[in-house]
Amino acid sequence: MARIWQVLTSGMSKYIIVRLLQIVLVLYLYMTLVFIILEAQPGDITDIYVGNPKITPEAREAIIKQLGLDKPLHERYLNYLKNFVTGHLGCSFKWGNIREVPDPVCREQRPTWDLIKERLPRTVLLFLTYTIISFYIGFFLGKLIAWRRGAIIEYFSTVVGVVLFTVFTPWFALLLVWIFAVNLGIVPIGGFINPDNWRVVERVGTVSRDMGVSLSNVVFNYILMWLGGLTLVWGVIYLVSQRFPYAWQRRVARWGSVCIGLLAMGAFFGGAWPGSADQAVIASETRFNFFLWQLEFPAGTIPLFPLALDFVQHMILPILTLTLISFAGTMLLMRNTMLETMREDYVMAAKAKGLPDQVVRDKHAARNALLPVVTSLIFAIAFSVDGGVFTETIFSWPGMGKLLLESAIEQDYPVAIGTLVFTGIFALVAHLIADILYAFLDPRIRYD
Amino acid sequence: MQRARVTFEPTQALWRVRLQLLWRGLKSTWAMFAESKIGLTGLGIIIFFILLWMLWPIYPWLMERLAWTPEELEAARNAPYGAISSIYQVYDPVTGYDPLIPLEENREGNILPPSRRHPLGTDQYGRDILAQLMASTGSEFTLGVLAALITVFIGTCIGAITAYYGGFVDTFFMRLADVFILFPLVSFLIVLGSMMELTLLKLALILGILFGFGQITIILKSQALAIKVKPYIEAAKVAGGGHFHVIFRHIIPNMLPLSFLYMMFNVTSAIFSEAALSFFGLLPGARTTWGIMIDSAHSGGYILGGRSFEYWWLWVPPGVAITLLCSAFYLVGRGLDEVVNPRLRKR
Amino acid sequence: MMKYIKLLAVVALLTLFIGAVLSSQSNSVVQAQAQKIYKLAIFEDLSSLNTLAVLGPKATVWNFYVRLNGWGPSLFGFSDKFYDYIPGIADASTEEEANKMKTIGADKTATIKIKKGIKWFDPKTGKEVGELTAEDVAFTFNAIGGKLYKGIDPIKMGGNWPGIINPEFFEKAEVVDKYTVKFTLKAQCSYSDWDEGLLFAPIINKAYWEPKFEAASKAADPIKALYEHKGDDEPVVGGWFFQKWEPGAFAESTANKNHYGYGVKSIRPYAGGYTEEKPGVYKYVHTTKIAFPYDGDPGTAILDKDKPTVRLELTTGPFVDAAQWRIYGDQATAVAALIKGDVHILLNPLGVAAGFRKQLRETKGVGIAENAGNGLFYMSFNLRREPFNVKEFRQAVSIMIDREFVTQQLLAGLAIPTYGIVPSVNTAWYNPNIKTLGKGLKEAEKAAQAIELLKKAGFTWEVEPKVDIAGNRVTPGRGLKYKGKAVAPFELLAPHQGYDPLRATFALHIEERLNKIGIPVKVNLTGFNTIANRVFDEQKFDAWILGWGLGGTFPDYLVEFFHSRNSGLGGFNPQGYNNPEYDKIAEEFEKACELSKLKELAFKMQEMLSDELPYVPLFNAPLFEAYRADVIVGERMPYEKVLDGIQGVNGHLSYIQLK
Repeated sequence: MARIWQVLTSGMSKYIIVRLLQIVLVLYLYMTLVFIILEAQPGDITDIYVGNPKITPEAREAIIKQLGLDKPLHERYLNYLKNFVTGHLGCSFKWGNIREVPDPVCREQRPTWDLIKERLPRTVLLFLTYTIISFYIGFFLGKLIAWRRGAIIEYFSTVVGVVLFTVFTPWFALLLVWIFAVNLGIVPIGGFINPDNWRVVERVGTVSRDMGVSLSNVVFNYILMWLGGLTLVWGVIYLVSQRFPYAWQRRVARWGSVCIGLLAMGAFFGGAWPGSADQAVIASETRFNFFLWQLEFPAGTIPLFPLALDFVQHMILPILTLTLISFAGTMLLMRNTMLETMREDYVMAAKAKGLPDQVVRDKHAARNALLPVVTSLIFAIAFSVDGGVFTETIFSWPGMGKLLLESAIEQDYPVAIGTLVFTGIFALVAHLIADILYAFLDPRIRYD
Repeated sequence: MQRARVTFEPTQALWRVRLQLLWRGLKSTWAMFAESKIGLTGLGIIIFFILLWMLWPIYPWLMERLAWTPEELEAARNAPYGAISSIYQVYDPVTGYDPLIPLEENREGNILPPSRRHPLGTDQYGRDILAQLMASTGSEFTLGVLAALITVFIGTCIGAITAYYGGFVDTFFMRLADVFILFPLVSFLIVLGSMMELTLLKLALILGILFGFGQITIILKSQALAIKVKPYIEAAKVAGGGHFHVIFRHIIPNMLPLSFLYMMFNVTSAIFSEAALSFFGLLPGARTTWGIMIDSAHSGGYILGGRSFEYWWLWVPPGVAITLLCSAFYLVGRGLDEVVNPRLRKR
Repeated sequence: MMKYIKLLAVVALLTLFIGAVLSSQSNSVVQAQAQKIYKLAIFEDLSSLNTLAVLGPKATVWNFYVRLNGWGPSLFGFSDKFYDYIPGIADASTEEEANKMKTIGADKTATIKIKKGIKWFDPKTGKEVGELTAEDVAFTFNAIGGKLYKGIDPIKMGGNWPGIINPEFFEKAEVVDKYTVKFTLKAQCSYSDWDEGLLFAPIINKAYWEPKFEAASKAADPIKALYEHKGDDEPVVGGWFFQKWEPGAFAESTANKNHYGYGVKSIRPYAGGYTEEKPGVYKYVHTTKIAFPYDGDPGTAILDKDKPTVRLELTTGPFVDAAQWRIYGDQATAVAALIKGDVHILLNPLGVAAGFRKQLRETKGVGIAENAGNGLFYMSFNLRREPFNVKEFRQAVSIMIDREFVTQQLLAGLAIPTYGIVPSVNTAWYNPNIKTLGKGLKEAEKAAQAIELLKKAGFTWEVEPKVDIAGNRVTPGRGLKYKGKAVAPFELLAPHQGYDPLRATFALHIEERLNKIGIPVKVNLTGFNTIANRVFDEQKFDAWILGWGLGGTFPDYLVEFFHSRNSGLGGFNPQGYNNPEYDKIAEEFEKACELSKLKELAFKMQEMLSDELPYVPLFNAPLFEAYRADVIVGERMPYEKVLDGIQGVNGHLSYIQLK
């Protein structure tokens, strides 16, 4: 017992426990705040039925009762908290049940959680990809312009960066759609899959087509798992490479990554997907235009990659837009922190030692300027759901952001609030993970 | 106890001394600020928009004298449908229309391309685009600056108080800041906008509060902590200054440069949020704003519907205006950053 | 070495990009050759698969499009395009026979025969699962009508159900033999409850639903238990099997070419009348002339040249292999998809924006159908308050509104000016002789008329507005007084620009015009929900602007909107119109049986309303529909001119033939 206590109160665990408790408190504050602000609004769900002359006042009463809107405020608040504690994000007003076995609480209505489960992978895939791309670009450019302080490139890229950073997102997205999708016609206008490719799919891996089951989501989830796995393997390689002598580290990391990348590519195209989902069963003959040649698949089974490529096509434009809009933020941040680290003594010393500029820049200045940038990366991932509203709406990408906007406009309060709270929780948890990772990585941060 | 002596000439009144000091401070700040091209660019854009705003009340008067011929005025007074009695009717940003638009069958809205009478053309209801653009400049400014002022006021006060007292007050506000930092702002505003009548004033207040209790508190608190340990604070305490006196006369004035800097960034966020909300039609209280202009061009089918920039004047001006104004405040902020934060200055 | 690898990676990425780009262009072409799929664009996903719920609380137009296609055969129905009252599954070979069958006898019963040989199909496998018999019909009415199971009745089921089966009218349905049903009712007639109510009800499959109803009635909340069924495997009679759905992307129905109605030919000669025939199975002859003489139709089925005597000839399919509803995020995306050829038609009840209209008109291969909508956009007042309860005041307001100016000049023809409650396109019920106050007058003339009316009713001004008719000038007045008391400034609630630019434009116009003659009105452009809440739920308002979608053609809304019994909170008469004379006519209308009597009363009510003006009708929005003419056989829709558009009552899906 004493030993457990000792472990619990020692630096790291204590820090984590304190953070956890704080997070719980913050979560409670957040949820109460959301409830209070949202409850104090005029109008309710039954208003949407007013436009229908066939609904009698009695029928509306029935709806109000059915939705629990006749209960007093405190009861609703307790219900609201209870639902979240029991992992239930409420039942949609708008969406009906589409499962063979209905949800025991929501019955004929669809649970918000079910909707989130359907939409989240799409949002996460889109935003993870863009965040990584845009951060890499931002990091690289920021490093460059800080190093070339005062050069014309600094002025130019700062202005361009600021304009892109502050550009009105929906407007800019529309502009890009107009250029690339409408006028040039080289990418799809919107949506996330091409129905022509998916209407023939009967089964993906072990999941059969059934009403309400999103087969595309099965593939989405596999891609996410696949990407996650790849990142893990890469991380392991990186850690292993640290054990090698200094001169070898870089080479091991690079070659390891290249090998893993090639292997992954092979697996992707060859169809060695995790689990049993390496194949899709298709009902009739279908063709995919892939690269510069056309692939024909007779009815039967096909590997998953042509289907996965369908997503890639639809992701090109949103990712381009998001990257253009957000790389500037990272770039400007990187520039600032880099300017600060460049004044540190060790950078001066490295320079004085006569090390080549590039080495000083990459090894000494940039690496140490990375920390705040990584923080903002974590924040960006945490806020991806929040920031997704504009992009997803313009590109008709049916993710979390679009769900939130639609349910808000259509007064589907449970879904709107559920999504909002989930977004907050998502951000909080990401924040917590970042904190803990930090504590591991940087001993200075640890509380005593 | 001995008071610190003013080392200036005793004949000068205290307020003059203060004014002089302020003037000198401003001058040296300006000298530093003027070194940053980026900051100056931003300032230039802001001044341009202020001019646009000031020009708005006399715009119809100007147009009547410069752009309309007497024949056109006569024709507008006798138009078959909806004749006008004053030129102000044509340039009203909400109900205005040009009575000289030809009444063709199946015409697609009352759009006129940029011309003499309408330097930036008209929208699908026949309203002058430039008039709308000018008319909404004021509200964008007011909203942005108001929200930012509230933010900075809250942030500065709370930052100073938490730094000064520490303890429970500190913990409470820092946890609150955690909530507000992680607040999904866009989602929240959308849900809120769908439920309640958001006017620009209410929005400014909400934005001000949401930003004010968030990140800015933490940043300003760390600044206040740095000030708190400075010798003159100790001196003020020793001289018998109360808590209130120390916070408001000594700590906060020294935080103001940084507060001002963050205010610039907050103006950007506030204007952006307003534009986004009105773009999604969630700001019904506002009759014209830049966001609404883009939305009506988009939902009217003139952005994705028009080919080869066919109706560019409907959506390029408001989009560029939002972007420019947002980036202007941001640029000024960056310029000030170099003044306030010596580490960023050129070597 | 590293440089080469980097170069290789870049080249690989570029190839991937180009590959992706190229493949996005031609996929649809490849697919279309294999199977004939008719593609329709919709803007929202399905919210329920359960058809009972779709007609109940999940009554969105998108669910209707996809889920109710070819579902629920009814005893009687309307013919395509012309709205003749004809038998559906009821077995009658002439109009007289049909009329006799549906006439309720003195004993308040009616006996209806149904056609033999109508089959149910399992939508998942496409196999036959039995015949539609009187058992199914009786079960439908008794179960939903609240006679069989405790806790289930149309009122509780909500949505459209109370309008389909009115429990205050329906008593019971009995099976006489396999193909005969006997209805017992509570009144001898009611047009809205019987002719366009019960007889239009969709028939559901007894074998499928009986156990579900039974289980539901034993549950704590029967309605929830009924609606919680997924319901995608419900047997159907019609031409479509709903089989595929990828949430957020598309839904697809496969054609059923074995269904009862397949190959039914309906012919309408110019001389009048109508015949419907399935060779060797049944034939029906209709003799009354057309209810809706809608003309100038350029559709394929109008065979003017080849058969000069035939006005419309349709053959029921489906003739395509599948119908695919593609879900788009918004109108802009859907329009772009139509122009690109990804979809064949836009299903869009919300109206197409002007900019898109232009582009659609200019696109080669796109056909356009423009139709009048069955709706009404109006302004109304709180008639419980002064001065809104003064008839002359309302008339003056109506006169001052220049509907033609707003629709022609400001809205560039996007709307049609309206003066009556019943839309003029509803030719069967529209009274063309209603009052049209102020129509066609210039601004000054309008003002003069309005001022005269106001003066007559006892209104005075502090500064009276001056009118110069010759110069068409109105010098604004102010300080309106009624019986010596100043009229306080009042608020006009209207939807904001983002929700509906048409109504917002009208509201601003009304504000400007009324203030000119000293009527102190201030427009409050706000959200739809705020208006609905303040007007219908709280009744705290002065005046408002909203619209109605009027659903069917039968104008029972003349009673619902203006009868004083509906003026309570939440009722459909929030304006509080209370006219005993009108109430009397309305009640008579409800009890009337004969069409001619109904029509006479409806005309009378319209006349009264156009004088009393509890509603000031403003405009009606026409429907604009675009489709790919170049993929359709004949390059035209089978018929295009129809009330509420192609997407309206009777789906065009079963007639379409793709090249």
